Amino acid sequence: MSRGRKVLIFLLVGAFLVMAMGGSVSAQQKANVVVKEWRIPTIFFLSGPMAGFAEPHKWLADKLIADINAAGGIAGKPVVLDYCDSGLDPTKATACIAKAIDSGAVLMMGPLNDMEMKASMPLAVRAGIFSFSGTCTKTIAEQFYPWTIYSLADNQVSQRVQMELWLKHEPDIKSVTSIDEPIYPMITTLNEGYQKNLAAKGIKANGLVQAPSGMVDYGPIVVKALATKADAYTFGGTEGVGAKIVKGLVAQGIKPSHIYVEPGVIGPSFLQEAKGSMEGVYSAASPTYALTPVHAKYLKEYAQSHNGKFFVGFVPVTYDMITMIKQAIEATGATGDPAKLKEERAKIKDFAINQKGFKGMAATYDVVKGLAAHYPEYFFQVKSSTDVPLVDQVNP
Amino acid sequence: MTLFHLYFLQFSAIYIILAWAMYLPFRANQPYFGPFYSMALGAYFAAYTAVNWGWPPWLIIICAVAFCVLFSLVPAFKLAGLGGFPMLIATLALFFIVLTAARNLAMFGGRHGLFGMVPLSNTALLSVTYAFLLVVGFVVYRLDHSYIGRALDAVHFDKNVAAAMGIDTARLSVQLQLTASAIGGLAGVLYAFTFAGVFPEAFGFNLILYGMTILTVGGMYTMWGSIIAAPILWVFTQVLPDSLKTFGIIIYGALLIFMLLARPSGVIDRGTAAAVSRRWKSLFKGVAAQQG
Amino acid sequence: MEVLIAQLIGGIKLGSLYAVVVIGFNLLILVTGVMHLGYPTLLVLSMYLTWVVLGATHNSLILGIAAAIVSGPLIGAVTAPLFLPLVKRRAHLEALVVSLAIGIICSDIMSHWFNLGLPIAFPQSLQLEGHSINFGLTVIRMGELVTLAVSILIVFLFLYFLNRTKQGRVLRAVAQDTEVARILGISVPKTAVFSFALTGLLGGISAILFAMSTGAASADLGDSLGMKCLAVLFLASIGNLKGGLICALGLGIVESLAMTYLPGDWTNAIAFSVIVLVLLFKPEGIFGEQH
Repeated sequence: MSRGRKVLIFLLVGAFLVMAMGGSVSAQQKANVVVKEWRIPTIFFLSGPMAGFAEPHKWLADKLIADINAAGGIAGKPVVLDYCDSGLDPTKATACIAKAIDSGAVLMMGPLNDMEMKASMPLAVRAGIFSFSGTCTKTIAEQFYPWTIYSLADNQVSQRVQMELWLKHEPDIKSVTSIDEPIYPMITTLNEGYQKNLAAKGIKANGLVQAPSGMVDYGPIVVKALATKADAYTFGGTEGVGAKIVKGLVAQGIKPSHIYVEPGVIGPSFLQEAKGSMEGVYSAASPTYALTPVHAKYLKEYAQSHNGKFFVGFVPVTYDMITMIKQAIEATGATGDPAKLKEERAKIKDFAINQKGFKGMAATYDVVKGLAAHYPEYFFQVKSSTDVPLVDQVNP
Repeated sequence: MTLFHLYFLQFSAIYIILAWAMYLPFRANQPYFGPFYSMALGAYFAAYTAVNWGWPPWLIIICAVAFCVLFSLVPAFKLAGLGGFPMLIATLALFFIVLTAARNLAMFGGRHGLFGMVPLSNTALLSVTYAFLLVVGFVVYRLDHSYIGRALDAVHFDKNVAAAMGIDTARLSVQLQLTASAIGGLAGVLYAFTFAGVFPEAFGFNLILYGMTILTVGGMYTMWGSIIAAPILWVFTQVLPDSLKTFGIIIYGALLIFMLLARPSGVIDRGTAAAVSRRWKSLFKGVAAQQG
Repeated sequence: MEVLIAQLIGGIKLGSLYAVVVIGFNLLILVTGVMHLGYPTLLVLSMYLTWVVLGATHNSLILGIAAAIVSGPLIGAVTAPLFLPLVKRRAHLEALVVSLAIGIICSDIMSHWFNLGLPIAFPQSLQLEGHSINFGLTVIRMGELVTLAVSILIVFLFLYFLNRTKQGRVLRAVAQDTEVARILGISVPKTAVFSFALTGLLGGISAILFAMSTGAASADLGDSLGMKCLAVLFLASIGNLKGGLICALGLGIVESLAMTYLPGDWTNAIAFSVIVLVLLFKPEGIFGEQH
């Protein structure tokens, strides 16, 4: 190899090393800075095809932070959310968590979805930094225990209680088929759980009919489900597919009240797309019904600033996470001192994974080993695209 | 070195390797997307053997690459006769088939994925990745500057003339496919070690977009452009000001279109690479003459 | 048996949607050599623009349909200049990448600035709800019937246009040999722009048909559509319009049956496997050489 080429290679390698060294210098400088404000790394997918899903989370987060700062901040210091756009890209989600770790933050918020959690949480676990995610599924929270949190209802309890409530309100149901769009393993587990619990109540459980994602038309799936001759159906999956399935079933004479959809399905796009077919459908979530005064406050403000629209049922989790963050910092006496970083991160983790009587936006619940416990079971019924009221409730 | 820099270097290297995997067949006007499904296969192979059988990294790498080559051998001869858009569609379809299998087979963790690989230390991960980057770069460089490189040029300009001059275009195509798949498989193994696991969403359409963009913007007809394009394209949405972050993908797409229209040969084309090479040579000839 | 019949009919309905999109693909590839991977996303953009007009005009069907028919060629004409330099130098691969980029940009625009990124739903009046044919497990909505009829009509109208009109002959001439066409006085750049606009018009009509048939759209609808329509294109052989119609309907039936008799997610794998096998063993397509 010629000398010139050797030098070229040497310089290229050198350029990379210089960049790396430059990074380590800035990390060194950060360690000597006294924390004057809480900079919370917040990993949301602000771009990409699902950016619309993250927008209400960001809106709520910004509102809350403004309210917290107006009331004096956290432990007397103002709060800033350092957004990092993960763009639904696993490599960028990892880079965002790497940045969060490098910044010397005592905790972080997000990522918002399972895929990004899978990509990036191993790094967070190795660094010992707690992720206030909340919107991840229970499976992910268990996988990365004790470094993240699942703050929604316990699926095992939901499967049983929701079916009991459904049968209580629709006692003429004789047989049920579950239609499953397996976007997450949790969805399939939920549907299987519905079947099992219905069978335990003496209902004929016809099993699962799988609906693949990304199809243009779901008519064949509706036909397949109807061929089981059930008089009632459950659905678990995405809003769009749920809307098509519900429309198809209702068009074939199935009563909307004989359709139950899992909570992730009931959202603003379902309520728009399934209009005319969905009125009467049951679920465990509602984007329109305010469960607490603070929920009502933010629902109203969101509707005012977004042309009357509602946010999906999971958005209150962001309120819960930010509230937990505030409580965690104040309760543990965290200072943000880089010299005590490892210790403070561990204390926050210990606080977050076990909490009693946490007052969330949608419910008051405990957190036991990183999972929400004693979460109320709400039972809603769709009345219209702007009204999905509560019809029943059980406090386990 | 900060963690961010580590991952920046790590992902840049992986994308460079992936771009080089695509570069070889694309040089011969063969839009072969085999490196993408090989990357998925390599990653799943690595995760499966590491988690279930506890294989050491060196064994995983050798066997994963061999597996990807064997898998690609199956359709290679038929694909060699296709070329053009049919090859693109066929290999894209194979990519989606591989992902569907990964998502639905319980042995690969289904939709959840496979986790539990023992993570390599940061130093080991970066060292191994860059060692392979240099090895792959050397292989691609040698191929470029050999009889095969000249054959690729001939096929690129006119396949029929190349065949008339005695180049076995079918055999060359098969060799390119297998080499590209081997390199893609290696990129997949490194990807799996970076995440300490594998999951189906890691191989979506975004990956294809990245690979194509790096190759196109960097330069489809030299290997050097990918070295510059990969890190810049990966990091630029991270360094955008907050007000522009939501426009990241639009800026990305617009940049791609601009490059294809204004400078279709990419940032570094053959002329640029040759000019830089001549400049370096003359610089060091001058230094050597002075020392002499 | 009832299930089988219902699925066959469902498959034909599905296939009719693919057929309309395939015509647009065929036209562009034939005349300009451009494989426009972003075309399905531009079709979805037309759907979104239709939705905006419907919302602003209290669901006026006439204005909504007009919006689709106008927006289609407009989008085609606006994006044509991005392809023309590449078409001129026969840079087909680069044109493919540009089409991908256009698709991604449009998809991102729809995710951010329409309906807060949420999927859109069309009014029931557009879907001709309330008028349907029911027998057994089969429901055929009027919107779906119209889609099927119009798809078939478009194929034959297009064949007529290509074979019996002057402009159609011009398109075929350029598709056959651009140099000879140029020598004969045909303006190849103008013809290329016309083909983009015409493809856009087909896209606009497809947008309305999709809206009538499915009643909803999301920013990522183009992705799932694109791959399948490309598959039909190659299955039938590029340029074969009648073959494209048959293969589109066939793919719809295969998908429908796969959804019935196989576990859900394998449906896509079956469709892709068929594509791979046909391309490997009959690369000229089921119906032979391109026309």
